[in-house]
Amino acid sequence: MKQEGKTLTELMVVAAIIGMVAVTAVPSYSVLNSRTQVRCVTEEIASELRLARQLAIAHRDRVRIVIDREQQAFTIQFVNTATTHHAYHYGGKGIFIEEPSAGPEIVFHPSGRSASATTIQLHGLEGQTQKLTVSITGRVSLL
Amino acid sequence: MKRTIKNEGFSLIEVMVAMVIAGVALVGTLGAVEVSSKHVQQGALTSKAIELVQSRLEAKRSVRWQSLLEDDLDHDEVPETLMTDDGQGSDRTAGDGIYTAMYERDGMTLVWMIEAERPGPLYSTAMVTIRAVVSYPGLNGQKREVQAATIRANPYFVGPR
Repeated sequence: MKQEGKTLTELMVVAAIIGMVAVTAVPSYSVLNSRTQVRCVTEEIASELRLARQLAIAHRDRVRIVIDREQQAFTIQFVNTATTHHAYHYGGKGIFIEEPSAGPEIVFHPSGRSASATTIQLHGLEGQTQKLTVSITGRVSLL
Repeated sequence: MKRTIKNEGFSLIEVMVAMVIAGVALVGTLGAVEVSSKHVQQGALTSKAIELVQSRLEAKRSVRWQSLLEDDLDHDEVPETLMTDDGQGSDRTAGDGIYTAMYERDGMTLVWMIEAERPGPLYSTAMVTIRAVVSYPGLNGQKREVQAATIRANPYFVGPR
């Protein structure tokens, strides 16, 4: 009797191919989610920066935002009165922030202008990047 | 003439094995679809959250100062939500100058508050902080939060700050 069937090796190859297809499919879903997550956190941070600028204008004081990447926090402080207004924590939000281009501090003057133009790069867990810029005039924009 | 009938088909066993394999593959595919739809839903919730927060701030920034505490969430020109001062600690009658309101939909809880610079009625304060926080369930059960804040000056304020 002649047996024409598939060998175990052939079956294994098929199973491996199916497995590989499945593996390539799975991370793309979290990319979907991660992109909106990065966008959302960036919007939140932009909102914090805009609030800091408004505080500088309203209180006629310089306002400093210190980005502590180890504590994963943004601290908003008044420079002249040396008081901390509040802190924003981005830990656990699935995001990583690069050192801003003009150092870890952003200062807004009472005129609303920023001390130096800064670009902040944010990275998601799946490698998405989002850019946030503070122009010399104090405008905060998402790129 | 001799006729030979050749039966070239699949046996019942073979067909059943094929069906079982197809079934397993289908279950796996359905699982993948479910996972992806969960992720897409989560993404939609996240976008919705930031949108809700920002629209609330925008609404509070643009409304007349006299109706700062009123909200028209269903857009029928009649404000139906009134932000209230929930008092200091357990004393509900003592105002602490923090007015809050809450709104729940699709598993998302939106809380927005107006905080006067100093305790007292809103017309006597120079500036208010407007804050909105939305919390919604994350993918693995933990709570996610999105928040934003802004400040607004009282246009009727007279006097030193």
